[in-house]
Amino acid sequence: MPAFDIPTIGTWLLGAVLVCASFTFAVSVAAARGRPHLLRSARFGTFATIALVACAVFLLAYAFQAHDFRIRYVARYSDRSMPAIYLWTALWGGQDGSLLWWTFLSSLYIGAFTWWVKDKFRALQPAMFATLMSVIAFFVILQLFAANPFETTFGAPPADGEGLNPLLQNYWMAIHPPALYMGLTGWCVPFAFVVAALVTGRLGEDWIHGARRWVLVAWAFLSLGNMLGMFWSYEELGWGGYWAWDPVENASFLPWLTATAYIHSVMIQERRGTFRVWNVFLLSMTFILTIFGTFLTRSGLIASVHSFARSDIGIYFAGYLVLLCLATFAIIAWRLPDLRSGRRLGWVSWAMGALVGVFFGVFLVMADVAVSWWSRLLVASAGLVFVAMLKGIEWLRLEALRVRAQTHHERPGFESLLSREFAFLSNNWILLAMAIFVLLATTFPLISEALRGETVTVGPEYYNYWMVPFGLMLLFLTGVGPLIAWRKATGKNLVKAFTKPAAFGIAVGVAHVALGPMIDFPAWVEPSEIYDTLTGRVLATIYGIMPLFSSTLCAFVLATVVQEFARGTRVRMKNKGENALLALFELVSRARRRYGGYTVHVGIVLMFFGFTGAAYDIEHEASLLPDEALEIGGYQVRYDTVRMEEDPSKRMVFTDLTVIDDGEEVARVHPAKFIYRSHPEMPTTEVAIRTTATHNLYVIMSTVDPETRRGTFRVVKQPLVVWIWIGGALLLLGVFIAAMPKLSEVLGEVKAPRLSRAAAAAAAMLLAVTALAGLDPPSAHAQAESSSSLHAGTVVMRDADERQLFSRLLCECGDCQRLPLSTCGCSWAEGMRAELRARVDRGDAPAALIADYRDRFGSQAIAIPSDEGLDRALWAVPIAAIFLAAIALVFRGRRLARKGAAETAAAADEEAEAPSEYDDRLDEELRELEGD
Amino acid sequence: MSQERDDAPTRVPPVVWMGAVGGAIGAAVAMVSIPSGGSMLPALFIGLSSVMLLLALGALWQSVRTAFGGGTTFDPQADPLLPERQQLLEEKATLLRALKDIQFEREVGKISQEDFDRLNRAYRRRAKEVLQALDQDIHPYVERARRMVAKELDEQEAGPYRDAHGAPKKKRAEKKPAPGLTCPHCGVANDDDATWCKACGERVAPVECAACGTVNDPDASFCKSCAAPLSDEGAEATEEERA
Repeated sequence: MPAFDIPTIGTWLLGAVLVCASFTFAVSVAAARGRPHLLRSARFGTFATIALVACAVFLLAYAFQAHDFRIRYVARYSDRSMPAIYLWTALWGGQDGSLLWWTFLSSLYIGAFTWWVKDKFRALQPAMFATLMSVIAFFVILQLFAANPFETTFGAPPADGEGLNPLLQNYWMAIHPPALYMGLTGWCVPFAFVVAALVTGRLGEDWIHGARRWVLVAWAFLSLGNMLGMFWSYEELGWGGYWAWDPVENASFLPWLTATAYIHSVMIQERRGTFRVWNVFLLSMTFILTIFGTFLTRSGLIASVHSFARSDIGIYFAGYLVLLCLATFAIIAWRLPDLRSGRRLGWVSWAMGALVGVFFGVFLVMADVAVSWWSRLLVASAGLVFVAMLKGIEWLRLEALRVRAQTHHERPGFESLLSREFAFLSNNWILLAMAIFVLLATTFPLISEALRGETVTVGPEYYNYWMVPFGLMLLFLTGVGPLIAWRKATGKNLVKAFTKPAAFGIAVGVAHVALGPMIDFPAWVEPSEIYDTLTGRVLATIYGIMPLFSSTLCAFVLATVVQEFARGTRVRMKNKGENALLALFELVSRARRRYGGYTVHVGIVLMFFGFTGAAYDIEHEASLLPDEALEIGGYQVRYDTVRMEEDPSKRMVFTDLTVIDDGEEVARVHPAKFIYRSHPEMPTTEVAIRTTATHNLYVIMSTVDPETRRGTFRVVKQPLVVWIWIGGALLLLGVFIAAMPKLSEVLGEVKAPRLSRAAAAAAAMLLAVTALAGLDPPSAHAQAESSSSLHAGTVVMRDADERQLFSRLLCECGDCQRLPLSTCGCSWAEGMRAELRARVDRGDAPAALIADYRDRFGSQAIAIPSDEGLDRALWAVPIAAIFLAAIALVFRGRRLARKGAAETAAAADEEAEAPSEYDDRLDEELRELEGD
Repeated sequence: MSQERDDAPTRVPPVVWMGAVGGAIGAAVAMVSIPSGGSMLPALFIGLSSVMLLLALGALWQSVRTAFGGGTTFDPQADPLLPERQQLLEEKATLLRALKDIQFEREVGKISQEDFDRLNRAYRRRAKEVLQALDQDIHPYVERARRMVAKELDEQEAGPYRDAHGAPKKKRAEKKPAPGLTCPHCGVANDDDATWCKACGERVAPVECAACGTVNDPDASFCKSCAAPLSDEGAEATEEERA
């Protein structure tokens, strides 16, 4: 044990971070208010704050390595036998430490930003530093008062720690959380740009240029984090899927949606100067959603498989969230008169504010759990009060402007509804629709509890069915967008652009219908209904023909992207006389954002292609003796032997199976069970996966009896899964192309940004490599020194009807949160299944069983809320909002288009008056402009 | 660091020496705390931690020092773009982007020749207007800057005594043309080097803000850039510079 008092030093260090951050905040504010020479002081203050955070992190790392069990966090998450690498990952293994880690990663971004920014965007800098410091200060306050990682143990320090949960002792745990945290924390810099732009009133191109690369880097990390989460879930959790719509997953999916929307709509602002409010709103929302996600998952308000200890930090987060929303929306409202690009659209802000306000109210109520009548009233009125406040601010500002008689700058509309601007707007609409839908479904348990005191559960099947139509629409727009020209698509040319991709898509669709059944990929599947109402049947129908739509659209989008590359290359070949390869290279390197973006689209298409495969999953479970085999989708899987191995930390039971295809032995797989000494009651399931281009064989050993050697196996044949990972890698490659620094920027004489851009390039490279490293050969998984988690994946199911019934009921033993009976392997679930099976055998209808189950355990025990009463609002409210938004979109688009068309016509008809010397200057400027 | 002034190129950037000193001390702490026979990792982390602490202290010292006016400061010239000018620049950027877009889309055949011609004409027209407006906007300043530079060059030829003023002031003088020396009160034209109006006795020389260096109108009471009150020191500084 170290000689000096680390707990006290650590706590003092956190205090010092708070003091330093506050000092920097004050100096930055002073710099923003007319003392620009203080900016340099603010820069140093920022560096000091960051260094102090790093100091605290390294001190905690030291405490882990030196086994200083005086610190409660160290005693709880490590022990003396753990290898050094897990002593390092234990830093983010629990609540308190992961908050410090979060702060540290934010500081890394802030440090990189401070280094990079030098004297660029000098007018924005003070407000940015102030914003960033306020974020750091919040997290430090959180640690100091609610979750101090340096807190001491009660009484004498224990001789040894409790050890890290074995589920967290695997190499994914070392990669997945930091990558996701990097994706979430990264949004603080773009958010600071937004705040600075709003505060200073410099709402033009400036901040967008500054934020561009930071947005892309954060977006790349967020995508990577989400994909690693999928990969981890698939490889380690052993339940056979990759995305379970868990609140934690949703929490990182929501900002991804708004960020993607921003990346598209900001291009409209760059070209037209419009949509300023919208872009500011999207980026602010992205940051707020990252905080909101952290709040959801850390406060323990919503049950999730990611079991962070419930603690009282929820109230701090709720407070911060309220403050953040109030501040952000207040300054947006204050700037609205300057921001607004066209006509006033009062009702949009009312609607938006009402939505935010409702969420607000819900969380205000949740902060104190007592549900009284007046808190319900508060929920109902919070939205209106909020909007009224915003309107008040806006009105005040308008009055202030009227006094100074500032002229209002009128901005142009669209030329046509058939333009890429409008396609992007539709893309924003669908992405936001998805975000609202997921947000509502994730928070519905809270809303339901606040409004009627009844907790419900929204299970993965709900999302799986509802998200299909959204996903298909998004996929369609992914293809349409690039085909339509900016400004105005000419009808004839548009038809020409559409012909080939559409023909290809339809051809693939026809081929799918004709040939699909022969190769086990029929064009439609038999879906189950999640509701017993009309809605359920409609959803089931859409889900059923999803494979056909998906294959057609994937082919269509792929063809559009190929066509885009081909057309661009051809133009260059013709204009510059380059050969095809050079032309392609030059094309991409001159318009990296455009073609990087298209590459991302290809990645998305491949991922959709992979998701479609889920419709064809076949599974088979059997209890086998050695040398017996089970058959699945043309394969024979033969069970050979069982063997035991041991190492210092665990016992391992391996089973060896041989995969036989057409009488030929094609692979051997080794699913296993690991029993850790520290947690013998929780054996982990090690799945074995055989990956090929068309499908994966996912082999789970459910049970094995060492005496009789009888084993129970569940084998799932999952088509196309590998394409999800390939698509993900391509997506990262696309971001890399888009954000990669130019060669001249790296080597040239531009001295200021070189280092940071090299760093950005290195980070992007690292991203790509990490992603590729994820795609290691299949044999590696079986033997990997890693463990799975939860009690999942060990259930024997008799038929599809039974699976459908059990997937709609949740395990209610108290420990297995959100796990349906169809996958939960705990003894409670086993007993409940036996009971229900007996009733099914007696001839009880599934609907009656579900109703009984609800009566017995309450509505939170049902995986999907019913389609009646308030439960119906779960889908009806977002769907109604989405339809209203679509109608508004078309009307607004048409009005803008009329206005824009009139302006252009007027401008084009007049004779040119400006002297011709400007023609040359214009041409020169155009040549200098990087084309993308 | 990069914001060091050009005239102090030989100074070692603080990051370098702070890093060096910090590294040395960190290494020393690490050496001391290596337990006999133990692993290197704890020592590494405590070393890193102490380096960070030193860096933090160094940076904080710099920060406090600059906050109270010590050390070197930024050249305090926030770009004084007028809102109208900024709007014009923004519009220029979007127009250029638009022209580039339609050119490319014409080439790959996404829009027809007629549509291209029409849009191209409209956007070029507007772009030229904007360029012209931008030119007009800076025209008077360009003229004045040219005059100032010429004057400065004359002075340079005149002799070595101007070294006493130091380089930064010269830079400021070059970048910041003074507004005209027509008296704001009576409208009488004064000599370029006048401080007080020869007709009515009001101030005609521009007032430089002591806080941020922005040159303000002769009759300004507060700085138009940073709102600091314009004291007599500012005026004196300007006079000294003009002398």
